[in-house]
Amino acid sequence: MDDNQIIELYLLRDEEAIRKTTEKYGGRLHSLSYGIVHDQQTAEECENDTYMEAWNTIPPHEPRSHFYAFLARIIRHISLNCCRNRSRLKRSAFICELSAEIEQCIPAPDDISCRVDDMALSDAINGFLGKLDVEKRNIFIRRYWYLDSIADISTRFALSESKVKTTLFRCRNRLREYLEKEGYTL
Amino acid sequence: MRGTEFLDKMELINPTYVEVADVKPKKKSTWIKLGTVAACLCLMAVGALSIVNSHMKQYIVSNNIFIAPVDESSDSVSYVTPEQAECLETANTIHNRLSAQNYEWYGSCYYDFENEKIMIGLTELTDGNKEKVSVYTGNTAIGFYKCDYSYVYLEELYNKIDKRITVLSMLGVDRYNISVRENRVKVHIKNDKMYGAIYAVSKMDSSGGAIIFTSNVITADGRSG
Repeated sequence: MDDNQIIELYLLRDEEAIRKTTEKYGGRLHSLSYGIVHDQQTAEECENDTYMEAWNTIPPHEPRSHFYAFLARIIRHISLNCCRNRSRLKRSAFICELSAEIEQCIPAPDDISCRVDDMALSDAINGFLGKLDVEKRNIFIRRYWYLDSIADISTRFALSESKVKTTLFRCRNRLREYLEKEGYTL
Repeated sequence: MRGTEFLDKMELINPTYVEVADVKPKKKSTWIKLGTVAACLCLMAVGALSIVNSHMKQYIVSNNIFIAPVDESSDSVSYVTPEQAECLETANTIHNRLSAQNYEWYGSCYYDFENEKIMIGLTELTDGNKEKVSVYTGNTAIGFYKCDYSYVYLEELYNKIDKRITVLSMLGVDRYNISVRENRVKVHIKNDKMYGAIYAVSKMDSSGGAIIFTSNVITADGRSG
């Protein structure tokens, strides 16, 4: 069943929509969540919460063209929150490491909440990503969107770990320079 | 803003980029990798060969090594009288006897058709040496001259070439012999572009100049003597 038909089921409030979503994307969503939380049971909970969230947000949203990305964004958000809230998962160190890494992209980090709206920030990040070549962009996204480990990224792209680290380091620097140049105050 | 918040904001990334990043990159085929490595090795080999070739060419030019066209008339005589044939035989006998003694100063022995005399070349033209030679010549009329290389040295050089002839023939050496008349080792090569052969053979000649290169094919820019 294609994404449009599944979305139609959501719009019709047919619970079959969730079953079809599980069939089509359940495996990918579960592994995405497991990559973040590193716990089978929690990953399952996150997956179920994602279906619930999708049920609640479609409508008004109708993510016909990027249904998987829509679901993935929800499960990423839920999984990250799980890691932060449940200390038993012992994943806070990894999340802290990633947060510290990505903080290097912020021109002047401070404790004040983001001063640009999501739309402007989205434009800024996507503008920057659009300038990267495909492999670098994918490495960056695997690290900071899918929250993959360096080892996993190096295996995925058949690159050495040092090459991946260097690529990420350069991407972070370029993003900071880009944000500075474009005048974003985060 | 802190890193934690920025990490959350990463969810604003364009969904297309997110989906593209989730597609497993195609692994480069092993054959492509091997092909690339082979191509690189070939390039390196070609580069190295061209450097070596240029180095050998430079060596040949700087050492004034010439390749002479083959002169068939110098090694053969069209008509020989019975007397001349006898003299040739005598010169040959004297040469065999003297070369068997391994004298360091004995160079060559041949019959000179122009002067009608047997000529004996010595590297050291002393009375003592001439006296030693006369033991083997008897009453035959002979003339002495100073030559550049001893026959012992020419034989050594010949043996060195003979020992490596398999490799040298691959490099372009056709044939080789000791020219007693010219008091040199003559090496015939396929053409004057066989720098490897010329270089390898020249390197065996520690005294330098004891080899004459000849070829039937000498190009316009060849170094014909």
